[in-house]
Amino acid sequence: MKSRSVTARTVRRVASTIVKHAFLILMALISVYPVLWVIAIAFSPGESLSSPTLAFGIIPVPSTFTLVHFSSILSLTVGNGSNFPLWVRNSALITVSSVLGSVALTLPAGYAFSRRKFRGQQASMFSFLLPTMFPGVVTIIPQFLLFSTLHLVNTFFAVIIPYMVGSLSLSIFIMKSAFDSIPREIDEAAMIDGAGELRIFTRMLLPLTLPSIATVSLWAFMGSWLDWALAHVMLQDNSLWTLPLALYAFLQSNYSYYGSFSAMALVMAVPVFIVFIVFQKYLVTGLTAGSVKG
Amino acid sequence: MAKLKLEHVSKTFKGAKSPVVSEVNLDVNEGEFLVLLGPSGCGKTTTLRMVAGLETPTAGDIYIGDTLVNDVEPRDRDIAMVFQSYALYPHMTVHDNLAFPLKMRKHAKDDIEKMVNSAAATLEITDLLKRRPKELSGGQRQRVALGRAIVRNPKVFLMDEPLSNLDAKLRVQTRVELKNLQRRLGTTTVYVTHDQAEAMTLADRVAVMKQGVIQQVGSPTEIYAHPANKFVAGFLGSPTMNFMEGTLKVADSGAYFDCGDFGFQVDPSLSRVVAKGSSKKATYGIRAEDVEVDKTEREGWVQVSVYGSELMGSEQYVHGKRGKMSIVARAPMDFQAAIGESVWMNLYSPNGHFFDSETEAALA
Repeated sequence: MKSRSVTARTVRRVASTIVKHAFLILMALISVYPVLWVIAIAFSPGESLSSPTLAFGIIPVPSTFTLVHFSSILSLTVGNGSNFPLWVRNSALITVSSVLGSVALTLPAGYAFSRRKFRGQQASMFSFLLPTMFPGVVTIIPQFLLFSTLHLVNTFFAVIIPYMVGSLSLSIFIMKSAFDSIPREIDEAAMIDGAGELRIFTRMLLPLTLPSIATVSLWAFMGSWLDWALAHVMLQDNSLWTLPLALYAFLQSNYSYYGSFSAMALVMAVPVFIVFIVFQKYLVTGLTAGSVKG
Repeated sequence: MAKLKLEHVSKTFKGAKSPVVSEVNLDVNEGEFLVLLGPSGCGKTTTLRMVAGLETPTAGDIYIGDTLVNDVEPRDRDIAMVFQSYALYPHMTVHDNLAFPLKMRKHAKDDIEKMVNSAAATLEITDLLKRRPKELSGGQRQRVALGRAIVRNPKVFLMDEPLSNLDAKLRVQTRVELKNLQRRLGTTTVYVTHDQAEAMTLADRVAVMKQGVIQQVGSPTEIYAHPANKFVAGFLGSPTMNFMEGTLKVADSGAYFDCGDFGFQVDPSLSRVVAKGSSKKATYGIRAEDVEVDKTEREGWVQVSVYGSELMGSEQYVHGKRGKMSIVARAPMDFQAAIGESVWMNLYSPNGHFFDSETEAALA
């Protein structure tokens, strides 16, 4: 009787594990499958979607391994000398500025919401949340009108400022939560030990919230590095193009250059991939900071 | 070291109806170890935080030495505080935790090393200097927190239940070391605790607080032997003092305490507080060690039914019940009485205390 119930329980546990793993593998395959296509097209000769061959009738693999598309995107020039290195530089400049600006705004704001009590605190928090309740694209038109008035359209400011501000809502919540998770006694001990508020912020709170700072940086990085919609509206001059705009251009010409498109998509994904690998540990810690008092 | 003085200090938090700390007057002498003792929420930690400068008094003045410090920043008060949670800087090594207050005060690098090493040697934590707080045990963290307090030789130590996170055995050991350390350093210390045993063993003087008001200030023996009111009498001592309600009657023949179905003759000096021929509602308190217990009936002793006993090692506490009244008596280890068995207890002792039933203040 006893052994029968143990066996039944073991069978149920094994079956449950198999079902769960099968589901996870299926989900992972669905996520990875388009990426496999991009990789296969990028390393296959030709510009067609049908360049790769299908292993087992379903898995795309390069028909012949080639780096021709990578060399072609390096030598590509549009208009008056607008080229790949320039787009990389533009993307990097905009992204670095947005990330630095976003972090610079997020840290003091998160600190203030966590450590200070002030009139209108709840309303301010809500005002930061409000834009996240609308689709991002809704804000593009008013932003375009605003930057037109300020004569900033077709300048990097027209994307850097919205990227900076756009990531603030979630970032401020993450940082507030991170600062909240640090006991006030740490501030008070430092205060008694002789530190002023700025020093407490820089010497105590910032080192202790590095995982969350990494998270908000990553959030801001993704928001600007991968954005196409806002850049498409604000940056009309091809010398100001970012990588997503250049990528889009491959699909807009009379002939779709899927090989070069895929090669550039891979190049664009490399920094994201590296940043994710490096900050993966921090990302999880940062997102869960404050959820459990340590 | 310096003396510390609180004059009519009160604190009411924003939006609160009643004050957390009310009209506290306290003088702490140079080099004295004063313990603020009271139950949770009595205002003892708020009082300590006002001395530290972490809270601003709503009214009253605080002096450290001869300086009025109401408007002085915490860092400029020359005090050091040990927190209940230790509040060690988790990203710094023990060395850097100890060096931090010295760096903030711009001591020379060589001096910092000497002072850190000296504090570490005093607390026997030299071998821990390179570790981070998370690599330390509770007891070691507590020592580091103490080290950070003593390293810059402040005028006053403020300690907020620093032993409460330690296990019982380590707590007893550490409080002896703490007392010894304070004696050696001679630094004026204000120590907050809710643990009466800690207060009794550590303090030169104890200030007992209840609902923001200081009930009594005195040496541990003074407070234990002569509590100012029923609260102090009940808060100090373990097990808690036995209390019984009754009527104090003074006649020509002497004073008598009537508890209804039993009573006993008491100290005739109580006629000073109750006029002859009159009576007064009163509470009688007697500690377990003053209650005598026997298995045979004696004249004037009260019959109670045993409902439990706690063996404490060389002695035991016998818990008895008579009607709704519970009484604890200390008995020798070999005293044996089964649950439900009748024993007799002598509830009158010259060490007993009478309290006014209305005001709860001690009588005579």
